[in-house]
Amino acid sequence: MIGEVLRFILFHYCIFIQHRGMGGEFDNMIVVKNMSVSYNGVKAVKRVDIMVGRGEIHGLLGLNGAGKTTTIKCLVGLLKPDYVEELKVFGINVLSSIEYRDFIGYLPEYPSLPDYLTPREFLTYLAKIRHVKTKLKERIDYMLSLFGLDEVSDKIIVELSKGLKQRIALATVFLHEPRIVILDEPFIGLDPEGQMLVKRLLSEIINSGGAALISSHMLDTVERLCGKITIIHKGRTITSGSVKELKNGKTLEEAFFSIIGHA
Amino acid sequence: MRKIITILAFKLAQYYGPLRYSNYSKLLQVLLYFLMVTTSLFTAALTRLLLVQNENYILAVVVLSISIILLLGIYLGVKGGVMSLQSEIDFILVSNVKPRNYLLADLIFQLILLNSILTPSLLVFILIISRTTITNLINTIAMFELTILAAVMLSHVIGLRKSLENDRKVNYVAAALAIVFLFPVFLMAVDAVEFVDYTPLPQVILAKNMMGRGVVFDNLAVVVFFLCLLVIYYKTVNHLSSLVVVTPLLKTALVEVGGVKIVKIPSLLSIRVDESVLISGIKLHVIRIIRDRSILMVSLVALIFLMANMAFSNLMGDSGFSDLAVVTSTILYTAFIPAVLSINWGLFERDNLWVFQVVRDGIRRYAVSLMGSYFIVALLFSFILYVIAYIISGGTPFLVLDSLLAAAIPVFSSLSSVFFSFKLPRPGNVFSVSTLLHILMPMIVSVIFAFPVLVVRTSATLASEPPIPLVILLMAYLIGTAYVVYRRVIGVVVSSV
Repeated sequence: MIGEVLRFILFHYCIFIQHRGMGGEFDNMIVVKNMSVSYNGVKAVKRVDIMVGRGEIHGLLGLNGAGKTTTIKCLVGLLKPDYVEELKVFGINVLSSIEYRDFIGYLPEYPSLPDYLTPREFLTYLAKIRHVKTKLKERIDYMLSLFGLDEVSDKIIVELSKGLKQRIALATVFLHEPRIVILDEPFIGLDPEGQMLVKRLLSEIINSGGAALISSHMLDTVERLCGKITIIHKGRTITSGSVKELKNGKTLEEAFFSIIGHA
Repeated sequence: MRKIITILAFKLAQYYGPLRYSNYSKLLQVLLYFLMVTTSLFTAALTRLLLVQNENYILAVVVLSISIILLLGIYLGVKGGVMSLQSEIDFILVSNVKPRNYLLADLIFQLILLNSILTPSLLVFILIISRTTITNLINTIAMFELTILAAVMLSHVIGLRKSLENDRKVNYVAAALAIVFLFPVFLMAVDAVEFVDYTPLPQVILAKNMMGRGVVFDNLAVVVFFLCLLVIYYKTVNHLSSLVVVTPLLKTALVEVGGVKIVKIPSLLSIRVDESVLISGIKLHVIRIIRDRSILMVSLVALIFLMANMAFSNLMGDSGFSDLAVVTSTILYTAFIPAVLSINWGLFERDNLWVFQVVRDGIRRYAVSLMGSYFIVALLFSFILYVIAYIISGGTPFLVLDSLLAAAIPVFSSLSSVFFSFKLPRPGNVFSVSTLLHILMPMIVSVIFAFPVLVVRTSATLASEPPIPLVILLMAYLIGTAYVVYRRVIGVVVSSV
């Protein structure tokens, strides 16, 4: 127990030192360099490079099967790459440490939730394993209210609509006040009010020095939300840069297909 | 006819799909058949050895085997009757396929499926125990096939009636039928096995014909039984204009009673903010076990097991094996509980693991609490069954060793169930190889680990007055082994996801 506490203090002290002393390097909240991944025997990702800076909402674009979800799964530790030169989240090597998970919030493309629990029960348990220690009950009440779940907080999840389930999944992302959020198609099944809320929460995170990586097919949303974009095609990063640079006077849709076409 | 064959081929391709591309699945299938046949041979030979003196007992055991098949039909019927996968519901049942064509294809499919499961186990058992002669072999196999056909037709009729009529009313009829099919088991349980022969019930008549003991009346009765069943089946199928109402039976778990439902949880079980993460985790799983109604299934199986166990005990009465049979098999049953719970876990909870995987130390905490919840449920049932068995049998409990055994089996079965939940492929459907392995493996492993206690327990001298050093040694063995297994399981679980 004491060992765990000491390890925890030492780890956060190291993060603090890294944060202060190596500011330049740590400005990259997510770093993926030359990563390749096989999934079910198929080379899903061949060479992907992504760099997400502090205070940045970064869009990940690509056609179906391009390798976006596989890349994201590697970032959150759900898959292991075959080869990678550098894979860091919050300055921590993803392959050698799991402590970075304290700082990330993750939403999968198709979030599966425990149907048998109520939203309140689920968030309470999750807050506890997420080490949300201060004012836990208030935090859960706040999240339920923020995501419009207070009226259904005592119904079991199986009885809720797809949109409400998506809201619960999103509540789990922001529950522990993460510094980095990684979202895979976050707006599917979400009504305009929910989309607005997610955008607001993302703004709050980047304003406090965090970052976000969002994979989406909704080009107009990505265009309005993200400062920078990485486009992946057939498992390779084919371009990365600011939305303005990539558009180069065209609409994002035209630019996207033009880049994909030239790849 | 071509449509029926096409649908049947689609169903078979879907069900046996994994065998086509995975050598691992093929190997598992072979292993499973080997296990089933050897277990049947061993059990039949042992039972025959102990019951050889009384033909009534042999008849009772064959009746019990047939009852199991018919009860399986009722059970499948209550769960929906028609074995469809979700893709069939989405693409075939909404097409212009005639309901009777689809149902006929499903009937043949279920016959193939149930035969593939029951023939290597129950038919082998029946052939050995009834010492079937070559001349009676065809007759025995024919009766066995008729029993399976009856089970499938019952399953269809009950499932389709449920979708056509009042759900509750059909459930009552199914329950009444189940009681009728269990009646000979009840006779065995109350030590009235000689009356089984005179009970004019389908399973008794089928058993008598199977053993070559049927008279003309018995043959006629079988014909009448099937004619009645055919008429009811025909009327049910003819009433059906659409199949969209069919429940996807193969998608649902073997032990799922009927989906997740809100059940008021006692305040003691509600997840509180001021308790430890472990306690909250255990509560989380216990809530799941209650709300997905696995607990009802476990209770139901416990009840059936208790009756069958008492019947077995009575059959064994003359062999002087009675008390030990009651206690040992009751306690061994508890190994079945975590195994069954882990099937529902695989079907309904496995997809939710991402939530815990992306949390630091989340999977370890999750797995520990899963073991804790299995242990609590299994221990509870273990002691309840143990006490009931003793009250009914009026035996003298060997308190220390029985308690050790009653605690050891839940510990090892919980640990091994969690291990196999994470390591074995997800149960694809009700009768997949994986489903059976999820049940068999934890039972085998927990018996192996608790074997030293079982051995001492079988010795009447040691069991009645065990020397204190022996008890201490057994306790040390159990605690030490449980700790080592626990560490190993946690290590494997954390590294495997």
